[in-house]
Amino acid sequence: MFISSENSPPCFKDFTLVMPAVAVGNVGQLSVDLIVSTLNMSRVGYMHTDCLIPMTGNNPYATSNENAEELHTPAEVYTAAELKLAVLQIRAPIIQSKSKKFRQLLVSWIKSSGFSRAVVLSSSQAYQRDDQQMKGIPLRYLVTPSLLKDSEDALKELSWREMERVSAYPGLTDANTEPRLYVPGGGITKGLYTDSCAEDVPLAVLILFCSEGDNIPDAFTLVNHLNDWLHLLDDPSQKPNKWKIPTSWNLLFGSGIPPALF
Amino acid sequence: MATFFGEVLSVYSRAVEEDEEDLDENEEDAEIRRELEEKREVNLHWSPEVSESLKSGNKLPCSDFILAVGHNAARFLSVYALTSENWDALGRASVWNERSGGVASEESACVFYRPKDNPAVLICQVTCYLAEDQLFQWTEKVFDCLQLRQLNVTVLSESSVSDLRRRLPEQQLGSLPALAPVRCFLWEACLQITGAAQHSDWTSGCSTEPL
Repeated sequence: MFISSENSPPCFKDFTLVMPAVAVGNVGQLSVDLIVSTLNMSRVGYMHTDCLIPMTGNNPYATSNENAEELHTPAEVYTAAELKLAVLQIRAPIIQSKSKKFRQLLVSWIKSSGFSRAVVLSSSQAYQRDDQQMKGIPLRYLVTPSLLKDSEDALKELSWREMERVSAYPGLTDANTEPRLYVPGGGITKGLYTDSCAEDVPLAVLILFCSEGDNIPDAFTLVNHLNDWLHLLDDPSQKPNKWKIPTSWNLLFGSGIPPALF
Repeated sequence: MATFFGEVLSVYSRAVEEDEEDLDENEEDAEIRRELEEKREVNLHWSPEVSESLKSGNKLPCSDFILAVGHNAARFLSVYALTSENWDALGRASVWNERSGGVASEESACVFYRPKDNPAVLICQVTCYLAEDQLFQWTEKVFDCLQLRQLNVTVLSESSVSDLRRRLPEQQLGSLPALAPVRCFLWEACLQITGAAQHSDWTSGCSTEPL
């Protein structure tokens, strides 16, 4: 259930929604962090749901001592009205037995809010690729029929590669088994995509093949890829690193090095 | 993941496990699942007078709710609060999950106390394990019994010292135990739900400088 932080609920009509799938390396979530912090988006509400592990913390995008002391929760919605962009950040794992319920919640929220399209940032296990998936760049996309109608030309221009269907039993040639969509390590990605196809929701999925580790470079790869399509930042070539890393990424890999070591 | 030296390590992933294909669930499976869910419900057992007043629609008046999660935090309350005042046990919460032990430990695991001379204060010590799917329900059920207006909630929690991440080097950690608050002044209630620290790098990366 979406809860608005203002008295009047925000209007998402014709907005583009960007959201992560909690997936291998948390790449989607890191990418969304970059978007929120770079575009200085404002929080408009949050999802109140028992499908996520409850957690809380201080402002992950703090810029000063004053705004550092806000309380933030596992699934929050941010907007940049001038870009007609909304972002749902998910900060906690989905409870396994409730992933179906969570997918339904998302799909019905996307439908009822009037988003013009939704983009899911996701990742998949690099080591489970098949031969064709190992060729070229490690980025793939999926798009539902209802979004394909409007975005076909744009996608053609980008010359992105669609996620290949893989055979259900690799190595066996059986005429009866059709190649299937398989997103290992992608969490709710596949389910959300198939639900959206069935419900006629205009949704795209961007998938990066990666492994668990320091996934910060992966996040930049994915968010730059998204930017090629949505043009969130105007002049991408201006600076070597135009995305602003949020304060919550500090100490991601432990404390500072004790100088007594040297 | 293979290391530089060629060993293969299994890597912990925070990603949700493989999304199961929606298997056709037969009636028996559904029945078992339902029963299991019922068994995992969080139950609140209040003293007769409290449940009487809750039944008639009056929530527990409360100005300060102190929740101690974990053995260290709970013991802190035992030593500094429970021994020095006269407390009434108001009730307890009970949960059943994969780590529930014997009945004896369950009885004292999650008790709500109120001082005799100040009925607006409520404390609770949570020493039992609350599973991930029970956290939300626990919070919702407990807070549903409290008057939320003008309520201050303080959560005492604990985390391993080795999990403490800070920019300042270790030798300045002289005054252990270090306290790192998750602060909020904008909200009436400050609530740190159990499990937060271990599930998020995000929490520990925040502006929580030890006091």
